[in-house]
Parts: sequence; C-alpha cells; structure tokens
Amino acid sequence: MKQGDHNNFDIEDKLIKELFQEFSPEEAPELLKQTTMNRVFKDWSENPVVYKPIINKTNRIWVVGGLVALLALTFLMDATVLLEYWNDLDINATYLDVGAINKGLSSLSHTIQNLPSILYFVGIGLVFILGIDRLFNRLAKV
Amino acid sequence: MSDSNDIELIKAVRTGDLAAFSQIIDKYQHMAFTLANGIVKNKQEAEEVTQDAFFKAYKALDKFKGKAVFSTWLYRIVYNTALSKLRSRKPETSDLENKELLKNESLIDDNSINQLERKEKKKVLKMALARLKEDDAFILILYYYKELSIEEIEKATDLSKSNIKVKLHRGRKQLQKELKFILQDELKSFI
Repeated sequence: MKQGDHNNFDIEDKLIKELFQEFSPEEAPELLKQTTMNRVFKDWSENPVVYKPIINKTNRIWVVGGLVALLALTFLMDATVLLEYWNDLDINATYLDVGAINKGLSSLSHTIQNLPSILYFVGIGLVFILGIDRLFNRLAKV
Repeated sequence: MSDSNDIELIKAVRTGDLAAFSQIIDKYQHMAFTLANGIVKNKQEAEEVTQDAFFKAYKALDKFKGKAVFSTWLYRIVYNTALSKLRSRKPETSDLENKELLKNESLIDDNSINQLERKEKKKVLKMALARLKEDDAFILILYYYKELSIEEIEKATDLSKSNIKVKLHRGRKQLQKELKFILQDELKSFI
C-alpha cells in the first residue's frame, strides 16, 4: 500500500469511528418480542420438556427386588459364616488377610453401636428433608 | 467468554423456563433487528428475520456449548437468516437511481461531515448504512459499533479473515461515498 493510500485509510477509519460514536441500534418493533415468544411457547407446548427418570419402571422392580434380597440376606445370615467359608478355601493370607478386614469391620460396627441414637435421627431427618426438597424441585419443573 | 448472566439465562431456558428466553430477547432484539435490517434493508423483512433468528436460536440452544460469546453466536444466526431471506427474494430490476448515485463524484469534503450536529450525524449515518450493499453494513456495525475483532466477526459470519478485511475496506469506501452524496442532497434542498 502506498503512503498516500495508507494516510487516506487512517482518515477514513478515524472519520467512521467518530461517526459510529453517535450510532445506536434501531428500536425493534413492539410486537417482535411478543410474536417470537408466541412461536416459542407454541413449540414448547407441542414438545414439552419431559422428565426421564434414570431408573425406569422395569428397572425399578429389579432394583427394589435386589435391595429386598440384600436386606433379607443381611438379617437372615450370620456374616461370620462367610469367614469360615473363606478359611476353607485356604487362600494365602499374605496376599489377602480377611481376618484383618473382619477385625477392622468389627471395630467399626462397635463404634457405630456406641453412637448416640440422636445422630441416627438427625441423619434420617436430613435425608428426608433432602428428599422432599428434590421432590418439590421436580414438581416445580413439570 | 459469554456474559455470566447470559449463561444463567441459557441454563434456565434449557430447564424449560421460557421467561428466561424472553429476557434474552429483551437484551438482544434491538441489535439483532439493526443487523438484520442492515442486510435486508426493509423493516418488515428485518422483523421477520429477527423473529426467525430468535426462534432458531431457541431451537438450537442445546447446541450452544459456551465456547463462543453468546451474542456472536446469535449474530451468526441473524446473519445467515438474513442472507437466506435475501436469496429467497425474486431478482429485482436494477436500481438505476442508486447506480447513478454511485457514479457521481463527490462535491463535499470530509469537513462537512465533521461540521454536522450529533443528531444529524446519527441520521446521516443510518441513511448511509441503509444504502450499503448486502452484508457490508452488518460487518461495519459489528466492527465499529460493537467493536468486535476480525476474529470475532469471522465467528459471527463464517467468512474468511481476508474476505472480512476486503468487505470492511469496501464498506468504508462506500460509506464515505454515500455520506457525501447524502450531505450533497441535503445541502441542495437547503439552498
């Protein structure tokens, strides 16, 4: 670009920049927003946002059934029997010392037993409040 | 990056909050309308283009990942919708009056622009922008008024950088010519 052309460009650029300082966007027609929102609302009502639960009805039966079975096993079975079965398998204890795990779990269960009952109630209360909050949040979005 | 308020509004729209989308329209309708009018040069068509662009933006909101600024993303939709509108028009007979205007040589120097009052400058600029070809006004507005960089205009139009520079150069020249002709006409009517 020649020097003269470059100077012209600078003058044009400066002039246009100055002019654009007085520029403001045009007012959009009053009905523009309303008409657009009508179209959006029509589309929304035709294709509503549907909540898709992660666990559907078929899966829910299996999940609930599994939980019930697990609970039944926990209550009906003596867990220490598992340890005897494990010992019968005669697995090298240097790699996996189940006795140590059992001891650790026993001390954990002992600690839990010694916790004041108020803590359990507070815990259940918290879970209940969180559950209610989630339920209302979902209802608000329907 | 996008305005944090825009991101919050987009999140709300995605969860089904239509009032949030109405806030987005409130915020961008004037700029979108101005840009659309810069291309189609017809207020009624510009309104249709703006409506279509907002509706397309609503439908495609899930595709907006927030990598670009939301306004740039929206202006791109406005740009493409306005160009489609132009292409859908029946070919018009050539505008002889406009061509004659372009042929004429300028009689007024740059000083006369500087001497204008603020209100007059605004009016004259709008008139001159309305006379520019296709998307030249769109690009000039983004560059000089919104102060977007060439890279940002590239995102908003999908044109190459060199193409944008050419259009800016051509737009500047054309705008200056148009300004001079408008001022010349005004001066004649005053005399």
